[in-house]
Amino acid sequence: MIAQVTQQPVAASLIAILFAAAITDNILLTRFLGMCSFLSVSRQMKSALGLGLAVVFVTTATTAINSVLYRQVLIPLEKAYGVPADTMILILFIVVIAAFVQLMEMFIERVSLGLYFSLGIFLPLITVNCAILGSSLFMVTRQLDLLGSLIFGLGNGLGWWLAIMLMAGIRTRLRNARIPPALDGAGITLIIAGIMALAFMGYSGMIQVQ
Amino acid sequence: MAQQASAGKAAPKRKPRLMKQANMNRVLYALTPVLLVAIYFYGWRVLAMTAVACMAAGITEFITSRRRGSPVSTAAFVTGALLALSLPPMTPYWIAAIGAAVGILFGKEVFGGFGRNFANPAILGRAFIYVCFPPDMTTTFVPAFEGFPAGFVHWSFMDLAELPGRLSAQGLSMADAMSQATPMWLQKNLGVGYDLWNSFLGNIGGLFHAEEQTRILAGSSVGEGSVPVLLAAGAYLIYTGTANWRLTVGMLAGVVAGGFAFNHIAGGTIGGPLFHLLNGATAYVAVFMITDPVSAPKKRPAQWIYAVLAGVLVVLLRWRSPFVDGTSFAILTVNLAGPLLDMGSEAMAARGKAKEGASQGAAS
Repeated sequence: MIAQVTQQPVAASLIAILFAAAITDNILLTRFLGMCSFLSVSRQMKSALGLGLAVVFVTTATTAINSVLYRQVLIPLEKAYGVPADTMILILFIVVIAAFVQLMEMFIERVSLGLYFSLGIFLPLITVNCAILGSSLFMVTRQLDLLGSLIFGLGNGLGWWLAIMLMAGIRTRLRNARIPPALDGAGITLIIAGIMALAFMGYSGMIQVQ
Repeated sequence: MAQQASAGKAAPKRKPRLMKQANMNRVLYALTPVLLVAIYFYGWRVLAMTAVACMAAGITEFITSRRRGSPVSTAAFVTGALLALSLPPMTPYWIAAIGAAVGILFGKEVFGGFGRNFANPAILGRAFIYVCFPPDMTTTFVPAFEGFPAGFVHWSFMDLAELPGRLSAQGLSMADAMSQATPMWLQKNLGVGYDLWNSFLGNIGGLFHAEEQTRILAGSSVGEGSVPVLLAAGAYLIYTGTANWRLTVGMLAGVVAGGFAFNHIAGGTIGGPLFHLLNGATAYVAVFMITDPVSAPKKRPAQWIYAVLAGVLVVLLRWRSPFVDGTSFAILTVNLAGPLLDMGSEAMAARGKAKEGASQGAAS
């Protein structure tokens, strides 16, 4: 399977990366990254949709930027001065993500005030979404090139968006449910996330990309 | 379907010990012939397994629903029976019990009981035990009994001597041919198809020799064997309005479409539409599982998408998933998507109406 993927033409392997990241290796449902905003923002469809799309955008962009920085800055630094790239990636990636989100926030505030207010607190929340940092870190362990990281980031973002949309749909449907008081809120959401992860387990290992 | 759901919801206001649900009773009636056929093929152990699963489901629901003050619903026994009939013939009793308990507790009771869950409890329990105990769920297949009294005079399949002439005549002992394979496994791993007429009847047994190993051909789950009985049960459920024909037909159509498409992509190695219709749990799931009125969407377009998607996913999972017949994952996936599909088709309908209104306004 692994050999097959590497022998396939570039387009096919990119599609494999996309689907593996979005479905079979879903960053939220198989690795449980990015849970905090997933639990808190999935109550309403509209905010889930907005946050999900923002995460798709930020994940795609930062994974690609981090890929370039890792290759062009960290690796040469390690070779020339012995700066350990493994430790530096955490600092660099977090700074890049925070800076990117900050820039995007300023940009949106400048360009469209309506969108800025409708996203509200969710924009800064993206900074602390560990799925985004996770996407960059997995990019490094998978040794993807620039195009590969772009697609990988897009896949991870889309997977996160899909999961939060499904969760928002289910939570909207459960409005009339009589959930035991002890489980209300985060408890029941974690149980639903567990059921979703169980469903996605059936698809694990369908596409293997490394 | 909506009427049934509301009938189910209205009932808990009174407080009898057992909530009687006419629809769920009809599902139990429809399951009776399926159970009899399962006993015919696999012996009386099937009945014991069903009883254990029903008891586990009933006890779990009794404990949890008493705290809430509502009675045990017939649906709990339906869940138990559906789960038991979806298990391989030699599944240990405790696994059946765990499946039923988990299905009822995490599939239904944490959301407040019948009518409020979003996933099918039986499917949730099945997927849970499939993931947790894969060895027990994939090596407990045995061949079906054949000839008239068949399973009715046996407790369960114990050794090859009890078996049909087609096996014992070969002079095999259990140790010679321990490795069992279902038709689905055969097709997936060796690309060998099984006689479709026998698959249709559920009469699965015999020997085959491939890759220097003799394997016993075995049925996979007790209830999914005989397609004609399942179709008759489905016809009864649809006729009485218990099941929605759109869901059953949509799922079968999805399996046909998926069989064509994926078999073509895979170069004819995964079996065509007819193979996927007659083998594995397709008929059982299309009749009993996807038609669960609680977890299915309520809007008509959403129901069609839901059912067809389930059918396509069944074939996709059979093709690529490490789980041999991952039908339960397909149903669980569409269960997750159900609420979104409902909301989507509602939004589309609202938009269509708004457009109509606007064009009428413009005309007047």
